[in-house]
Amino acid sequence: MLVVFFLYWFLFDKFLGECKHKLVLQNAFVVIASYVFYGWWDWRFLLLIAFTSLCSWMSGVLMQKVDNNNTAIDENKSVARKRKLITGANIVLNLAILATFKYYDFFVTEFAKLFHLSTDGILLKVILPVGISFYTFQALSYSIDVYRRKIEPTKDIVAFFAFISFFPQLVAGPIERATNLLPQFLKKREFDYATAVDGCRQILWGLFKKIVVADNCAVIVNQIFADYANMPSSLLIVGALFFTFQIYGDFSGYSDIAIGTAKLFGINLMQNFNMPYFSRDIAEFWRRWHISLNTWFRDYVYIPLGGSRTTKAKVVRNTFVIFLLSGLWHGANWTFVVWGAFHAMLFMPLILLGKNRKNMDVVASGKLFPTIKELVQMFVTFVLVVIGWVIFRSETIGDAMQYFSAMVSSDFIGLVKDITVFTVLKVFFFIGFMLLVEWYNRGKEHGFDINVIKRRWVRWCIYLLLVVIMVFFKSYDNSQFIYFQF
Amino acid sequence: MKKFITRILLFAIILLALAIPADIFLSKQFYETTDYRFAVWNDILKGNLDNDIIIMGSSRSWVQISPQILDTVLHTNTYNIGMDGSCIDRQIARYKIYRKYNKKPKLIIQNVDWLATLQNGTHTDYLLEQYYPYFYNADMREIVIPVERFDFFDLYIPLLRYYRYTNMKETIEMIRGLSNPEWSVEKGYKGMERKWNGSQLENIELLYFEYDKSSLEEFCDYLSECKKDSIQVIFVYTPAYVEGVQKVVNMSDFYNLFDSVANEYNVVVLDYLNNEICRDKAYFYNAMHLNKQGAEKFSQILANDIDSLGLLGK
Repeated sequence: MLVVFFLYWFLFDKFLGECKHKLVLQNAFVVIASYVFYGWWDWRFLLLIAFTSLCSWMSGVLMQKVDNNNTAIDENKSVARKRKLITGANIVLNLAILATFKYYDFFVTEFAKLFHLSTDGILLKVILPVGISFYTFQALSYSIDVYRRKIEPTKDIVAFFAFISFFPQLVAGPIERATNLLPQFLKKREFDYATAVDGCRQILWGLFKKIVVADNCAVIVNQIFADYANMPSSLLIVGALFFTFQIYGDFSGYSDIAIGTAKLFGINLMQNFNMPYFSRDIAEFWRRWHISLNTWFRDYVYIPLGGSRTTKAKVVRNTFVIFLLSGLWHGANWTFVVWGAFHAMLFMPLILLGKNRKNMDVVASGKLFPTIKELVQMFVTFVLVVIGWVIFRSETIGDAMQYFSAMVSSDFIGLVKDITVFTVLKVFFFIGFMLLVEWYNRGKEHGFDINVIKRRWVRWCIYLLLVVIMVFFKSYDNSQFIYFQF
Repeated sequence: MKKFITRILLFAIILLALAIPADIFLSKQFYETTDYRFAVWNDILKGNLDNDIIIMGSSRSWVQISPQILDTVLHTNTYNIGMDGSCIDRQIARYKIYRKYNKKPKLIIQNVDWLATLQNGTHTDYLLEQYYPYFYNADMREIVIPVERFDFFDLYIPLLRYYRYTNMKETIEMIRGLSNPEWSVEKGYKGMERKWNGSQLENIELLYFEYDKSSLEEFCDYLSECKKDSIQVIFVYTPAYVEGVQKVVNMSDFYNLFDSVANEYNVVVLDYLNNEICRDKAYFYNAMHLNKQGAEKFSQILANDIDSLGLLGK
């Protein structure tokens, strides 16, 4: 990273001076660095991402060609038809690749199970390329936005490849929109001290959430979920709670690292998490959780289906569609689909009562503590979210149901080897610390915006403290980010 | 940009400034322990060892040959520098440090088996922690640490090794457990008070051990060095439980190879693979390791043989 940073700013920015190809070279360097980073997993994946990038770039170029060959665009139906055809072909192609790698085996197996058929010789058994769901959606957003004329198609293939493969967000998002990220690769980037420092802070906070919170939660969560039938109900509750914070620490931690890293390169990525566990209802939760994916579904699926400006029945249908798709996006397993359906159902009362846009502001804005009402709302929402995560984390729907059943039927307290009260309390302490810091910064762009602390030495002591905590409380069992698998 | 880099460097310097004393402090905790992972290194690096005999090899030396018994029978001074989980590269690296810091031994009892034809190299994390406290020693940095999988960052970033291959929590637990008598050694030797636990032996498929030519060359170079330094080496084929040996289809190939090496370097071979000990499970805790009772019995036999053959004074 350090080498890439210095080459990016010194070799391709300062050293090349006023060279007219400076931007192209800098973007080419981003592509090379990103491909090296991505190829580290498996070089064969590079062919796939290059193919996806090329097809999507070509779709833009072809649409522009169609436009250029016709002057009266709006009146020409054949132009619209051609544009639709090009976009449609690109969408089908990209989704076919995604479906083949991610869903083919799952659906074939389920189909075979349903009709008692054999799957011998027809399963692909291919490895899921890291981050395929993320960059495919990013590529699709470009194609659709060009079709909708929200963005001019680019002829700059290097900038486009950099947009698809930009290494900080390549494998686990945020899923960027062409309208936000692509123009940044088409103009000169300026190094900004304040942005870079803020990026470093965000990286540090992301690392803390991943190393200290998520990984320490994971150690306990893995033990509890692996043997839930023999766990006391108190630990099953702890398991559900810890997974709730594990997935948050893991995924929002990665997003913070990605966004912070991008800032160091003069690139601004979209916010992906906005303190979702302080939400007062499910609708607010979904406006704050994995924002880049949810807004993607909203813009490219929900609104084209009619969105909320249609009959109630269709709104209900549209809501279910995006939640089921969102669930399925996470992986080929019924648990994800049911998790999506569960959230869609939680959404229903808000949709039907027209209260899904009630809590748009930050909770307890301008105040230190929430009101009792807000506290109750947050608690109820949080509990519902936790229930959803148990479904998400379980191997099968049956496991999830048995987990819930064991939660209420087994003894409340019991002894379990390797999970001590001290270990659990320690993790609760880390979670509490994270929540406290994020509560304080809840109206801000990220959870560790400590610019309000005017004395530099105090800020530096806090940074050092975080590093020391990370060094001393790193868990050794888990290091892979959960969302890499999606 | 200049301001940013200056601040980042300053932050890194502060971190280093905190990490260096922390590293020294942590490392010092290991210097007086009897824990097998550090005690032998500590003894070797203090440079006070004056032994006529040293015992070299893997765990099959470490737990199988008692220096105390050899001392009693041979009226000499023996030290066991056998290393758990070590192939020939680790063994020789330790020997080199031993030679650099201590007086020349007259005799090396070299346990030889298939591990003498392999290298740990960068393959394993096993017992890497035994090196952590000695990164400030220039000879360890030059001779021993390059043999292991440590890299540039481990060498130059303080504390990193404590964090990277174990973790800080485990390091602290390790320090707390340093006085655990279960793992303490005396003159490098650890008699294992364990009963046979090789019940899974029958489930093991037949094994075929590969050997590495460059390791054998390294082994031969070491024998040449010993010859040049007038240090007598004897090969000892230490006992292994007979059914365990039978699981390795090419075991005899290894010993034929060592026989030819012994011939070439004029080394005496003491073969105990057919000794009666090898047929009695009571002397083993697994197929390849004698327990304390077995080790003491074997050490007695070995000492007597060395004595009767006059190998020490040869």
